[in-house]
Amino acid sequence: MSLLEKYLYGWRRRSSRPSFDPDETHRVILTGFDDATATARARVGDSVLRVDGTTREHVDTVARVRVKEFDEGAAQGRAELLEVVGEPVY
Amino acid sequence: MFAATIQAGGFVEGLVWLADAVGVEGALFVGITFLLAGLLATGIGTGYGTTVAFVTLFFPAGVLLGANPTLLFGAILSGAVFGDNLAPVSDTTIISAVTQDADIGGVVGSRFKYALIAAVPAFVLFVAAGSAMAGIDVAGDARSIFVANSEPAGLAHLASLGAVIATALYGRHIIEAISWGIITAVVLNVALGLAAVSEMLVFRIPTDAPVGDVTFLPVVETATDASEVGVGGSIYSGAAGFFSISILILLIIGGVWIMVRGGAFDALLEWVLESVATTVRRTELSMVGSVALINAAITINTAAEIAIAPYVARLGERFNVNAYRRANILDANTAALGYIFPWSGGVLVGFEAIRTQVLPEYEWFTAAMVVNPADVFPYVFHGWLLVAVFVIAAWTGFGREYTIDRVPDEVTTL
Repeated sequence: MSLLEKYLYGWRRRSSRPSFDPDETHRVILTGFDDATATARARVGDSVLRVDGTTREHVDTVARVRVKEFDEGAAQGRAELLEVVGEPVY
Repeated sequence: MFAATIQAGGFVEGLVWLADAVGVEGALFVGITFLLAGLLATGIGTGYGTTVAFVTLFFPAGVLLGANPTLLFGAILSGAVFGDNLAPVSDTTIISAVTQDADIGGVVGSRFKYALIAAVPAFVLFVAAGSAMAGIDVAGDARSIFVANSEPAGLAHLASLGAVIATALYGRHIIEAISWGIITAVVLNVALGLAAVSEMLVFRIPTDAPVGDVTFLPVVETATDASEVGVGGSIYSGAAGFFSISILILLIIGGVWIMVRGGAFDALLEWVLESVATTVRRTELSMVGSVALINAAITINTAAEIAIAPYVARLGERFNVNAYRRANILDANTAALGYIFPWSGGVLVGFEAIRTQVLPEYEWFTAAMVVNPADVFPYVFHGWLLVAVFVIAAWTGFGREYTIDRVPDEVTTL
């Protein structure tokens, strides 16, 4: 991103419930664990992605995931784990 | 060191000359004071240094020109807020970027919009209030103060600021960028006769020092009194001024990590997540409130920012709020409130400069003209507007970014 783009980026309102399209890949922090589905989840704003292929140990890691499906009405969806890329700052 | 060295070279005196040369008077003086203080603070990265410099050099002239002293002090503090928040070399800017794991350049770029949205109406308010609020009628020659304090050659240090910015834009490390700024400032000071070498670095040795006569060296002087023996100059004093606060910060970091390792931090976080921060909007609002609370309790903004940084990071990460956004919420509210609360370090350093430097300096300046810290807080317009911008941004989602939107670069790049 150029210097000018850094200054012009973000002059807009961003929804509290961001949406996702299938096959998109994202880098997210896995923020919790869903006992019902036994998968880690990534809460992004007020939207939630349940991430297949994860265990409780993946919570609080930074992971690259691919979106499988997303329901905009419910702001919930499913994704699959591609790789763990790091840990959050604290 | 950079800030102290370009001040030793008369950069502020250059700004005084500029203000005099363009003939700024009356209501516009307060607005221009805000802009120039903001320019200086953005260049040197220290709001405290800017406050002291402007209180001693601009404040008395402004009072003589008919500006309301309380409003003028508020304009100076507002300029300090602007620079502390936006300057790439500001300690609070760097702390906000490092603690949230974002590059300094990206952090500055992403916060520009909030700073601009607050600064434009702040300038208008200062001009409007400058017309509406009466000054003090004193007999004196404001121009003579300007002339006595002005040094056009000091503006050469715009090149020192340019050296930092250009090096940084070239992608170099922040430490290297500031080092080039210091080298440029030293060369300009010596080449243009703005400051002697000994004003930047001096070793004052005792008369009986067992080293022979080395006073031919420009950095060596003989101390006439034993109490004068030691090291001095802007390069030394600029660094030494941060020694005590560095120790305080290390202690705070130690305390924070004891809380983190002991689980108290997680317990507090879980309670907040269950009872307050249940949505991303409420989370961001609670971040603004928490930063305000910590700044009310810890009056040195750098220390307050370090203490609350892990909390802001953990809370934001639970909602995948981007590091840039977290850094902006952390720094803007710290910078603003550190110059608003009457007991904060930023206000008190300015109050002390008025009381101990301006009051004894000018015969016409009486104790009744010293601005009470409790009187100035409503007039720190840029500070209040910056806090308001973030409350509105948290509520509406303006400028919000998630981790999915972009990945910050390496921390120390600009």
